[in-house]
Amino acid sequence: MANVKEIRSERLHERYYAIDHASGLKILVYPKENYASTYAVFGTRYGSIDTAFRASTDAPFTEVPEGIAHFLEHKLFESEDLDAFARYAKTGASANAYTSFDRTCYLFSCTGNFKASLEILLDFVTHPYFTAATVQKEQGIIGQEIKMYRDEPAWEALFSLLRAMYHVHPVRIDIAGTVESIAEITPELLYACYNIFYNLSNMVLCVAGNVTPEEVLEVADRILKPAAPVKIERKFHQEPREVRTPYTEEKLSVASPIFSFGFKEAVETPERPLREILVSNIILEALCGKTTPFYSQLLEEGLINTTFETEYFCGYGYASWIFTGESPDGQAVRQRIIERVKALQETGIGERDFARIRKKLYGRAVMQFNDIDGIANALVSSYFCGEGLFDETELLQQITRDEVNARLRAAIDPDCCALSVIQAREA
Amino acid sequence: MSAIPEVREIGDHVRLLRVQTQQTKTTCISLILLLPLLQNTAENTVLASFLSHSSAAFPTLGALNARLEELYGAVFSGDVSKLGEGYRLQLSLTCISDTLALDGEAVSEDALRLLLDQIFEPLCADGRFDEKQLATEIRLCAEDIESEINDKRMYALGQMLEIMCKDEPYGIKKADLLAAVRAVTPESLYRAWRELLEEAAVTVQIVGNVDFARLETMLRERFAALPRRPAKIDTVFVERADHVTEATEEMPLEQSKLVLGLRSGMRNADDDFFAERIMADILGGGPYSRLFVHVREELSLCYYCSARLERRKGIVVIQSGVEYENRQAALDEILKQIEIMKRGEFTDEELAASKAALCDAYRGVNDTPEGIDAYYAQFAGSTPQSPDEIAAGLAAVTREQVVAAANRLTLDTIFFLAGKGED
Repeated sequence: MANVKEIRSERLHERYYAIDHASGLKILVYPKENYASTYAVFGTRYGSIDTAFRASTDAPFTEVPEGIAHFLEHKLFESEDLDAFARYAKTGASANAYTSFDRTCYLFSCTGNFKASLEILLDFVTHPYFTAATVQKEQGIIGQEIKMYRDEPAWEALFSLLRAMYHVHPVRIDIAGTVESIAEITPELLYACYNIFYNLSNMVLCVAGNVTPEEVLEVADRILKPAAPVKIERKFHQEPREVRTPYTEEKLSVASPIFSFGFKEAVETPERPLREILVSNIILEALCGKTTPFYSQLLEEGLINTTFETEYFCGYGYASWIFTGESPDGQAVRQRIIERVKALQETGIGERDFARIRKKLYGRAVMQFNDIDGIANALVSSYFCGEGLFDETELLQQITRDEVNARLRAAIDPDCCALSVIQAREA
Repeated sequence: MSAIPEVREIGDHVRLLRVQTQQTKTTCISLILLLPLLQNTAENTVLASFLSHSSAAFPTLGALNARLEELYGAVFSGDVSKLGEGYRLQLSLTCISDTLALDGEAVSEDALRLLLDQIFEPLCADGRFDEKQLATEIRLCAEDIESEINDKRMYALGQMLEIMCKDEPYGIKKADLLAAVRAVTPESLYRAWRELLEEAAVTVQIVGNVDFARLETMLRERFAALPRRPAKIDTVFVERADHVTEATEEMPLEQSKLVLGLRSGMRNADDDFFAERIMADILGGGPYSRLFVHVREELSLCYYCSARLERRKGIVVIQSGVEYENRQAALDEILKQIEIMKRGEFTDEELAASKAALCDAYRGVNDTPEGIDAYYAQFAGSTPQSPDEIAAGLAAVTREQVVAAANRLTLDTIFFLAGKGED
C-alpha cells in the first residue's frame, strides 16, 4: 500500500498529497476544485550539467558528450511501434518535454481522458527504445534547434556570460550541446545514461488540477514496476573563485547591443537552500527593482530600457547574480551596477523598502497558485531541492532585514564579475 | 468550471464583461480599446507605453511601481496589437484575490481605481502630454519596434506580412511606424488620447472572486461623463491570391527562415471559421499535424514547421526554420502537404486528433482568471463566443468541410530570410 501524506497551507487554503509509491517513485498530487484541466509532469534529476557521474564512490567518473540529456529527451518519445505523440493524438492531450541545466521533464495537459494520457506518460518514459537509425535522424532536427538558438541574441548573451564566468563547471555548455558533440551520441551511450538517471528513485511524478490521488495511483500501480534504487554521484566541479574572463563580445544581427552581466558567487556547498534564494531575490529587488531610483535613473539616461531584468541564477555547484537587457553602453551599465552594489552594501536595505519588497514577493508567490502548470513544475523543483511547496509564503514572513543585509554584504563580491555584450553587426 | 461571462453595455460601445470565479488566487482587470488600425497608429503605440508608466497621480515609473508593490505586487502592463485591421490597446492589471489580502482590504477596488486613473488622468496639462516623459516613451517604443529583428522568427513573419498585405492596412510597414513614432508630439499625443477615449470600442473585462456591484458603479461613473462617437472598424478580407510573390532577404545567420502566406478564402472572421481552423490545424497544428510529421520527423529538415490561421484577417501563415540549402526541399514538402489536404488524403485519425486536441484546449480556458481574460480579449469589437461554443463548432466539422476549406486556400507570398553564415 502506498503511504499518503497530506500537506496543507492554512494561509492559502490549499493542500496536496505526497505519496511514497511502492515502485520507489515519489508522487505528488495537487487536486484543484472547479478546474477542468489536469497537468502532469514526470521528471528526472538529470540535466545538461550531468556530463560526469558515477554510480558508486570507488568507480571512475563516466564522461558523456555535451547535450546528451536533451538528446535523450527527444529520443524517449520514440518506441518500437507507435511514438508517444501518436499515442497522445488519440487522447487529445497536449504533450511536451523540456531539459534544463539540472532536470528533464515530460509533461502533458488535458481536460479529458486523464488516465489514458497518464498511462502513456508513465509507459513511454519507462520504456526506452534507441537505434542507430533513429539517433541519426534526430541529429538533423536537434542540429536545427541548436542553430536556431545560436541566432537568438539574448540566449547567446547569457551563454557567453556563463562561459566568461565559469572555467570548468558544465553550466557553461549549451543545454542542447553542439552539432559536433551530438554527433558522438550513440544508442549505447543513451542507454548508459538512461539506466543511471531514469531510475524511479531519482524521479518524481507531479500532477495538479482536476485529479485525485486515487486516480493517479490506479495508473501508477498498473504501469510502474519496482526497481532497486541507484545511488548516483554527480561530480562537484571545483570551480575557481575568479571569473574566467571579465569581458566578452560577439557580433550578431541585432537592432541595438544586448548585455548580460553577472557577479559570480563562491559556493562552498553544491546547493542553495530556498531561504537563501528568497533572500537573494529580495536583494535584487532592493538593488535595481523597478521601484528604485537607480532603475528610473538608468532608464531616463537611456542606459537601459524595459527589457532590463535580473535573476538569481543557481543550481548544483553554481550560483550567480545576473542582470540582462539592451543598452547602447553595456560597460557603463556594469560600472553603475557595481557602484550601486557597493553603495547598498555600505548603507544596507532600509526598513520601508524591505517591507514593501516582502509584500510584493508575498503577492507574487500567492498569485502563482492559480496556474496548474506552474504548480506542477514548482512541485518538481521543490521536491528536487528537498523543500515543501508552501515553504515560500511562510519563509517570506520569517526572513529578517538583518539577514538580508548580511547576505548582501557576504555573497556579492563586486570585483568578481563578468560582462558579455552582443554588438550589432554592420548592415 | 463553468464560468459564464455576463456582458452588459455600460455606455455607447462600452461593454463590461464580467466573470465570477471561485477560489481563484487572482483578479484580472483589462481595459481594451479598439480603433481602426490606421487611425493614430503611432500615437496609440506610444499611449500604450505612456499610460502604463505614469499618470497625474503617479508621475514617475518609480512612484507607480511603489503603488503596485503596495497592492501586493500587482502586475500592470500596457500593450498594442493588431486585431484584424483594428488596433487594440490593452491595459491590464492582475492582483491577488481580495480574499487573500493580509489585512482584509479590497485590493480589486484599489486596482480598478488605479487602472482608471491611469487612462483618464494621464500626465498632461493644457492640451499637451508631459514632454520629458514623452521623450522617454518614444525611445522605449522605437527600441521595441526595432528590436523585432532580434527575434528572427518574428522578423521573418513581419517581413512576409508587409509584402503580402502591402495594399491593405494590415501590411503597415514597420519602418513607417517607426518614423511616425519618432514624430509624435505632446499635442498630437493629447489629441490621439481624446480620440481614443471618445471613438474606440471599449471593453472592460473583470474576472475574479470579487464584489462586482461596487466595481461596476466605479466604471459607470467614469464612462458616463465621456462624450462618445465610436468609430467603425472594418477589415479587408482578400478572398484569393491571383499570383505568388516571392521575396528573399539575406542576413548573416546560422539558420534560414521560410515563411508562406496564404489567403484562406474567408470573407469575414466568421466565414467557415470552424472548418478553416481544423484544416489549418491538421496541416500544421500539433505534433500530429502533417507538417510536423512529414517535414520535421520524416525528412529531419527542421526543428519547427507550423501553420496557423489568423481568423481576424482570413490568412494562413506557415513558418519554418531550415538550413539555407534546404529551402527548396522544405518548400516542396510543404506544398505537397497542402495538396494532400486539398485532395482530402489526410486520415480520419488526423481529423479526430485535431478535433480532440483543439476541443481539449478550449475546455481548459475557464480554469483561471488569466486564461479567461486572455481568451475574451480576442473578441474586442465583436460578439464573444464562449470556449464551449467554439469547441462544439469544431467538433461538428466534417471531412468534406475540411477538404472544401483546403480548396479555398491560395498561396500568396513566399518569403525567405536567407542565412548566409558569417561574412
